[in-house]
Amino acid sequence: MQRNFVQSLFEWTTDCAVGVREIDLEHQQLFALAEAMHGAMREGKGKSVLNGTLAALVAYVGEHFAHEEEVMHRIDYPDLIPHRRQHAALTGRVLALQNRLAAGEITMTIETLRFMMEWIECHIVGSDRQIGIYVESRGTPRRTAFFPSSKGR
Amino acid sequence: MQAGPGARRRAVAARRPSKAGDEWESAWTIGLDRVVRDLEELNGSTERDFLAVGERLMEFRSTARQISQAMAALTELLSSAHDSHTSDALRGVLEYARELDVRSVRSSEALAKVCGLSSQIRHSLSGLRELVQVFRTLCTLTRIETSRLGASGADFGDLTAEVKPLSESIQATGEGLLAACAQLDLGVQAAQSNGQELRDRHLSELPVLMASLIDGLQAFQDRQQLAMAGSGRHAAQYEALSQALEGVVRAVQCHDLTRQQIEHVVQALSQLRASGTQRGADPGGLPAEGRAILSVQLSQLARATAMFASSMDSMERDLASIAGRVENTAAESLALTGDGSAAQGSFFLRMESQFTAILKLLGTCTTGQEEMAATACGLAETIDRMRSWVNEIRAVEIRIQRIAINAAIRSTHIGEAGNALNVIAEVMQRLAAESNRNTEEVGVALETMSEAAGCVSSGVVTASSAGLNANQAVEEMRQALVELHSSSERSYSRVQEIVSAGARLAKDILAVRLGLTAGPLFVRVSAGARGEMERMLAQSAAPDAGSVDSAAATQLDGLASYYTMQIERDVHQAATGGAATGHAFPGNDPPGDDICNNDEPLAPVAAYVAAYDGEDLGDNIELF
Repeated sequence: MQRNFVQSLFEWTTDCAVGVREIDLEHQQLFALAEAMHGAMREGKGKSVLNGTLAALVAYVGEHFAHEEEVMHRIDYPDLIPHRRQHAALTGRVLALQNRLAAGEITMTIETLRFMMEWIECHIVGSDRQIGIYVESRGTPRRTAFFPSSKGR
Repeated sequence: MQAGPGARRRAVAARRPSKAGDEWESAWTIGLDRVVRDLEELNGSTERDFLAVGERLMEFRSTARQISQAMAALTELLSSAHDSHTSDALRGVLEYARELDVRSVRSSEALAKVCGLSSQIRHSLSGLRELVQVFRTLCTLTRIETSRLGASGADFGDLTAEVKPLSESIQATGEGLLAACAQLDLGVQAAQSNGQELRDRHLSELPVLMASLIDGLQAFQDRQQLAMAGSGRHAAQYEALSQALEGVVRAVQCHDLTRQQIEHVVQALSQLRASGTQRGADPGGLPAEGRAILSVQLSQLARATAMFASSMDSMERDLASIAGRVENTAAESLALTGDGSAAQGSFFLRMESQFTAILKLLGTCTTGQEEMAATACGLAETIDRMRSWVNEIRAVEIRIQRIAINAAIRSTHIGEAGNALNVIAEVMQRLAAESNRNTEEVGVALETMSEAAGCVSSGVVTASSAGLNANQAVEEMRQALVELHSSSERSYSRVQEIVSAGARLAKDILAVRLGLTAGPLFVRVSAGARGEMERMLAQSAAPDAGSVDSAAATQLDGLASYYTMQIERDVHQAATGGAATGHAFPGNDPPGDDICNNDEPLAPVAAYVAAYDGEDLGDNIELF
C-alpha cells in the first residue's frame, strides 16, 4: 500500500541534489535505505531490519565513498582531505554500530535512524552539495558523469 | 445563456480589422478589440493559475488533516505504550535484581563458610605427615624388636608388612584431601570474587539504572500528560489550519466572482463593439451611449481590480501566516516528546541507551548466575570426592587399630620378652585412634561444607512467582524490555514524521505563496485596459458632453451596484472587509495556546466561511 505524505520521512528531492548524476543516484539509495528503516520502525519492527540495514550501510560506505572520492580527486576538489576525513568518521560509526550489533546489542534502532538523519542533513545536504557547487563554479556543467569506470558498474 | 469566452474570442477575431482595412474601422473599435482580447486572456490566465493554486491548497488541506490524524494516533500510541505491562516488566526486573542481590549475599556467605571449613579440614589434616612418619618409625622399631626376639617374634613380621603400606595409604589419601582443599579454596575464591563483582558492580548498578529508567519513564509519563493536552491541541491546530487552508481555497474559488465581473465587462464591451459594427455609422467616433457604457465598465473594471488586489493581499497574508503557524506547530510537536530542536530525539536516545544497559546487565547477571551454579556444582563434586577419601582413611585407621590390638594380644602371650612390642602396639593403637578423631572431624566438616555448598546452589535458583525457572523469568523480562523499546522506536519514528511533514508542509505553503503571480499580472493588464478605455473616452468626448456622460455613467454605475452580482459582491466585501477583525478558528474557542494567541488573524478565511454558511453564494460561483 502506498504511504501517505506524512508517513514519508526520507524523500530525496532536488534540494538534496549534488548535481553529479552518479553521486545523486547513490545518495538516493541511502535515502531509500533510511526510509525502509523508518518504515519498519514506525511499525515497531526496526530490530528485524537492523542487521540488514547495517550490512547494507557497510557495503554502501565502502563503495559510495570510494566513488565520491574518485570524483573529488578527478576535479581537483580543494576540500578533498577534510571530506575524506568525514567519510572515515562516518565509516567508523557504521562499523561501530555493526560491531555492537554483533556483540548482541539490539536496542539501537533509534540511534541508527538518528545517525542516518544526521548523515543526510549534515554530510549530504551540507558537505556533498559543495562538490556540485564547485563543479559548477569551474564551468563544468553539472549532471555530467564523472566516473570513468561507471560503464562497468 | 451567455456566450463563453471562447466564442467571444472567435467573434472578436472575426471582427478584427485587416491591414487592407475596412473603411468603417476606427481607432475606438481597434482599441475595444484590444481591451476585450487582453481581458479575456487575463481571465483565462488567472483561472488557470488559480485552479493550480487551488489544487495545491486542497492537497495542503488534506496533508494538514493527515498530520492531525497522525498526531491523534501518536497520542493514543503514547498513552498505550507504557501501560501496566510495562510497569510489570520493570517491577519484575527490579524484584529480580533485589532477589539476586539477597541470594548472592547468601551464596557469598555460604562460600565463606566453605572456605572456613576447608581451612579447618586442612588444619585437621596438618599432622598427617608426622603421623605417617611415626607409623614408619614404629614399623622400623617392630622390625628391630622382632629380630631381637628371633623365632618367638616371628609372628610380628606381618605387623610391619601391614602397617607400613596402610600408613602410606593414609598419607596419600590425606594429601589428596589437602590438594582437594586447595582446589576447593581456589574455586571458592574465584566464585567469591565473581559474586562480589556481581554485587558491587552489576547488582548495585542495576537498581541505579532501573531508577534512572523509571525516572525517565516517569518524566516521559509527565511529558505524556502534557502531551495528552498538547498533542490533542496540536491535532486541533492542524485541523484548524486545515480549515484555514480550506478557507483560502474558497477565497481562491471566489476569484470566479472577479472573473465573472471581468466577463461582464468583456460582454458589455463586445456588445458595444457589435452595435458599432451594425450601425456602420460614424466610424471615427464612439456613439454617445457608448461613452456611458464605456465609463460604467471602466468603473466596474476598477472595482474588480481593487477587489482582486485586496483579495490577493489577504490570501498572501493568510498563506504566510498559515505557513508560519504550521512551522511553529511542527516545532512544538517535537518538543512534545523530545528535548527540542537542539538535541532532537535525545530523550529517546537516552531511553534507548538505558534499555541497552539494562539488557546488558540482565545478560551479565544471567552469566554470573550460571558461573555461580557451575561453582556450586564443582563444590558438590569435590566434596563427594573428599567424602569418599575420608571413608578410605577411616577404613585404614580401623584396620591399623585392629592390627595394633592383635599385636598387643600376641605380645602379652610372649610374656616379658614381648613388652617392648606391646608398647609399640599400644602407641600404634593410640595414634590410629587420634587419627580417627581427626578424620571424624574432617567428616563432620565435610558434611557442613556440603550443606554450605547447597546454600551456594540455592542462591542461584530463582523461582519466579509464576513458578518459572530463572532463565524463563529473565527471558520474559528481557522480552518485555525489548517490546518497550519497540514501542519507543515507534513513537520516535512517528514524532519525527509528524515534525518532518509539518516542516515540509510549511515550506510548500510558502512556496505557493511566493509563486502567486496573478496579482501583479491582473493589476498590469487591468491598468492597461483601463488606460485604453480612458483614452477612448477622452478621444471621443464632445466638448459639451462631459457632464452628460458623467451623469449617465454615475446613474448606470449606481444601478449596477444594485443589480450586478450583488450577492457575490457582498460575499467579497465581507471577506476583504473582515480581514482586520476576524478570528482564525471559527466556531471554536481558542485553545489558549500560541497559535490562537497570535495576534495575526486568519480573518478573510473566517469571513468567507461565515458568509458561506447560508450557502448564499449565488449561482455564479464555481466551486472546484
